[in-house]
Amino acid sequence: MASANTDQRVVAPGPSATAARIPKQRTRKRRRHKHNRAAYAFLAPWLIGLFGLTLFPMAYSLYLSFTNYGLLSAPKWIGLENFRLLFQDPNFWQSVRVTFEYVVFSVPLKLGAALAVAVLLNKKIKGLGFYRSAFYLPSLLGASVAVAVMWQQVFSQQGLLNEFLGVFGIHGQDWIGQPSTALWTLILLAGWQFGTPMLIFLAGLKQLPKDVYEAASLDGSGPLRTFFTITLPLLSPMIFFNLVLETINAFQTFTPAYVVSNGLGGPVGSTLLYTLYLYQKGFGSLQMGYASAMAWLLFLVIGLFTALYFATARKWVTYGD
Amino acid sequence: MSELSRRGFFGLGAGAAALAMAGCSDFTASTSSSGASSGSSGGSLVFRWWGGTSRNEAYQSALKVFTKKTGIKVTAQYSGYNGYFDKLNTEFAGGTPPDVFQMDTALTSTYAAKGVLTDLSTYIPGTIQLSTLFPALRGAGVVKGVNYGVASGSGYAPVLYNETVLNKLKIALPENSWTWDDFSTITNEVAKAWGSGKYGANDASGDDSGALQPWLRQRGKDLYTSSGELGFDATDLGDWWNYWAGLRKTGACVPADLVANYGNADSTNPFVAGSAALTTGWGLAQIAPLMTATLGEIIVPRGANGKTGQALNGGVLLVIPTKSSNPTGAAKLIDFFLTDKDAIKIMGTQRGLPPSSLAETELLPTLSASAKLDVTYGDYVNQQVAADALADAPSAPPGYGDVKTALGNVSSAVAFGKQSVSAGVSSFFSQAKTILAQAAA
Repeated sequence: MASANTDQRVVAPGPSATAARIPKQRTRKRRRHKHNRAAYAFLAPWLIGLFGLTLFPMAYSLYLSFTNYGLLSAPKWIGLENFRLLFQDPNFWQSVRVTFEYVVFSVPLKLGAALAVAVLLNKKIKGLGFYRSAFYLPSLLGASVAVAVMWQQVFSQQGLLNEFLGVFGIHGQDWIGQPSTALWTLILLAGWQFGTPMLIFLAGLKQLPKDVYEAASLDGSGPLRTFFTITLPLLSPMIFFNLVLETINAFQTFTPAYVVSNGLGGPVGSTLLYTLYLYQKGFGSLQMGYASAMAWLLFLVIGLFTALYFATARKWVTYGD
Repeated sequence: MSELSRRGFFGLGAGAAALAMAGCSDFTASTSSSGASSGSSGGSLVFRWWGGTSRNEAYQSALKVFTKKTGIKVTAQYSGYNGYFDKLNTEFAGGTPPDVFQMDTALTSTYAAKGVLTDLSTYIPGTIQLSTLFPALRGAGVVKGVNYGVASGSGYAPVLYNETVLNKLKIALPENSWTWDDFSTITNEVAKAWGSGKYGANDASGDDSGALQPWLRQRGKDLYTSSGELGFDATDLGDWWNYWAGLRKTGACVPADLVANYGNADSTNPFVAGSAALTTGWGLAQIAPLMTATLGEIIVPRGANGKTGQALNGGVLLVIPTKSSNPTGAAKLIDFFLTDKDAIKIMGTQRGLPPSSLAETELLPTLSASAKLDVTYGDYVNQQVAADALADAPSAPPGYGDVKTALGNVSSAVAFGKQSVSAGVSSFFSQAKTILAQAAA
């Protein structure tokens, strides 16, 4: 996507410049310092936020993860005890299982839906702006409590879904009350909120060079083949970007599980997402040290996944130049 | 929310919606009236509670009277029960708890162990007059000999039954002498006569204070020992869960996916929805307004030895954090709710049955029919408990809340068949022991 060559090579200074070089550099340096000061002043709000609200709390939670901290009394250093207890905690492993299941199914579902709708919206159809907004709407409502409450209504025993099934004489069950289906309602909710990756895909699709498609159609390539051999490879940087972001998001999902299960992660721990259990431990059971240890494990796992994606990216992400 | 039974009984009531969203929606309203008659400012207070709509309204009108009488401005903060203690914990950690707040009796020891509650002995009897408080309730806020809180109501969790349905099905109403065998017979009859999708009773296999505790006490056990360990063993819990597994098999109690709805005071509760005819763990005054059917109230089934096993609980307590900025004002507020006739009338039975002789004489003439039935029932159980001649139930140890959650989770897993009764029992005991050991450390 590089435009015409407009670079201007910097011309090396002639010999006459060397004499005045030293004092000039000094003033320039001083001026640069002044410039920097102004820049830092403008950056200050962000820097304060970064250090005060992100880095310091992170460092402090790392410290807390090695302590017994009941929130109401001073933290007590206990070394790796929290981690030892964690690995023996059946609820911890339950939350890990549930979270992996959630991530593994919700991310591909969401990205698939996003890509499919983006391709549809890339056609020249009437009222495109309306459709785009309509499809984006669920994501605007995103992590909101209202949507999760609505979800609860849709999938409950007397919910919308069962009303609908009833029309065909199918006797539905309480989808949220059953351990085998409760998590799937959350996965479906995640899939439905595909708006953000959809917009990114759409922006990517609009950028794809037309001439490649023209050449393909001249060579007699059908729409399916064009999609798999041209669109997908050209779009791979966007897919990569969305995959990384959505995986991180999925690992950190909290609100829908909290609302749908009334904060309990039930039935039978089937919606006990990792962050929900972390929250229960930290704020419900007053085990903030334990919760901090959990938070750091999650941080490491997310880091690991991201690293893995980047390591494999070379094999399947193509940058079109 | 099955762990809410005891609180539910005391009028937590009012809407799972309020409960479900409590974490994100709590209300702060200043009910202070600046035109206090005394003119001199008595300082100010932040007072926090949880409750349903009717309790919130009662508290707010009572606070207006308090401000008028004492000149102390009160900032009222309230929410549902869900998330209430999470928020409180965060504020305790930040060193800015409210000046006085409503406490769950069973959690008092957890907070007392952290040393964040004020010993009220300096205010008794100077500011807080306990003389009319029923003696049985004076120990409700006491942990290891120190009084941290004052009870606001009392009660015993009954069994409620849907009289309309039982009459329609021509099934005899339960009688005061009934046992757990009778409970099984009646619920089975109901299930058989009522048809598909209808059940005899709510599943109380995870209801610790409304059902399991009386059942254990009938066997001479209890939820906890006085030293804070579990007061029952694997055989007890196994028998309990097998009893409910039997009811579940025949449809005498609701299927597993409805177990959790037992704690909701709304139409998702099978009893309220009219798909179960009996329930434990709820007070009549909280459920009756939600239903059109005629409801009856009866003592929890007795043991084979005729004992009721019921244990009196103190409803909600009012406590003062050690970091309260106005402990004297807070103590005055506690006394106000206990001894002021206006306050007693305004609060009614919103926080349980009248806790003092004063409240009883003030309230009895004005109570609603269902509240009156609650009081009569309370009087009856009082006599029966005396006849039991059992020791008082030891107060719940630190970690109580988590053990209760574990009990709810495992009984649900057993109900779903995810775990056998014996596997569930060993899972519960290992979890509970870890929790109690950690909380005591």
